[in-house]
Amino acid sequence: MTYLLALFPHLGNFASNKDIATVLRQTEILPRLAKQEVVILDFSGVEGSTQSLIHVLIAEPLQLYGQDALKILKFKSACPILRTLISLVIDYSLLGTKKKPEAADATVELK
Amino acid sequence: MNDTITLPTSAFLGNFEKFTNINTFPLTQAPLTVQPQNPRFVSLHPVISAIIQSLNSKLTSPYLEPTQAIKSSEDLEHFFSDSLDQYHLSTQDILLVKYMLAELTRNTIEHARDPRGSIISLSYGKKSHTLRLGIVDRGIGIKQSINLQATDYNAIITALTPGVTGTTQLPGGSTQNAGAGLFFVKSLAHQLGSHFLLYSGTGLFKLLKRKTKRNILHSDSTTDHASGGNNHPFWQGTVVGVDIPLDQMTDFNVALSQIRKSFYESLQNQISSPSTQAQFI
Repeated sequence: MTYLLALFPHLGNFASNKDIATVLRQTEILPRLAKQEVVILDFSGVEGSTQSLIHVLIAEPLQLYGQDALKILKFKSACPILRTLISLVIDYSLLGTKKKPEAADATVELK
Repeated sequence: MNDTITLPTSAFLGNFEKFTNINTFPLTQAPLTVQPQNPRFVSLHPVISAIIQSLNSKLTSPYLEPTQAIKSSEDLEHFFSDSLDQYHLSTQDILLVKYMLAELTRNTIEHARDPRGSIISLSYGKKSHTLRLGIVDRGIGIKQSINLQATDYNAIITALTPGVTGTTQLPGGSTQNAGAGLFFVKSLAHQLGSHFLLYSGTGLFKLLKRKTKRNILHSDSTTDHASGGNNHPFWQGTVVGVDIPLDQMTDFNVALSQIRKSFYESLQNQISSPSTQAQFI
């Protein structure tokens, strides 16, 4: 099963509301990843964000599942700034895990 | 009797000490009088307006810039839509300003434990084509927030270090924080070659204008081209000031990529040399 989570309707064109991001992670992302569903975060319409917000969205899945999280958590239509922030959070979230992170940029694969 | 805050003729981030050298700050909200040294000429960075309004939210003075209280992400979104349009910023500058404001106000909401949130003030310097930001709270301050037994200045330096957050010491941070926000904002100011000021308790750190084109990011803020110390009048809470020279950011994404690299390398170094190694003697 694949679940597409459109972020613009929740977070607007500059995604900075960590409270909403926390709810999305807890209610939309983590329960589906736990069932091994593929979750696609769709950034269409989102022009910018902060490192803090991207951290809230994706750090916990990466901490929980390590490198394997990247097989079931994907990123769609992320502009270059968002790709940089996503890659950063992947980089450091996987630092403490057993498997070494591969080039994080390669995980931002869906356009 | 009212407490009095004296306003120097001119005080911006570069000479912020002109303001702190002539004032002490009351610990609680109290009647306050603002007294300019020269009533005919007062030119101040908006961070000073934010400081004074946070001391007494009811005070009105022609010498102060407008301020706004931000208690939630929703307040900040309203501020974005109400306040930024008037400056006719480029798309990239809007993203940069929003990035800095969002990270800094969110820090207050999460760590300052001040129910009044942040007081923010923003002004545009026409001559320098610079947007100036001040974000102030009267919360627990940086030292208590990161739970550090040190001077306020050392606590500020620690808070600027990649990976330091008040919520956890795990590499990669907690589910909510990674200890990157302040480092990123300071580094963006560095990329712009502009001032960044962080003041809490008696400690003050001030990133100075970069005089050369050499653009090397420092994860250790003690090696920055900066000034500061631990001898300032006590401020209960945290004060942040940033100058954003408009059109100076050649590529926001390239800047973020460089900061990302510096942040990641610093965390790698911390993990490869953990501070908790046992010493057998």
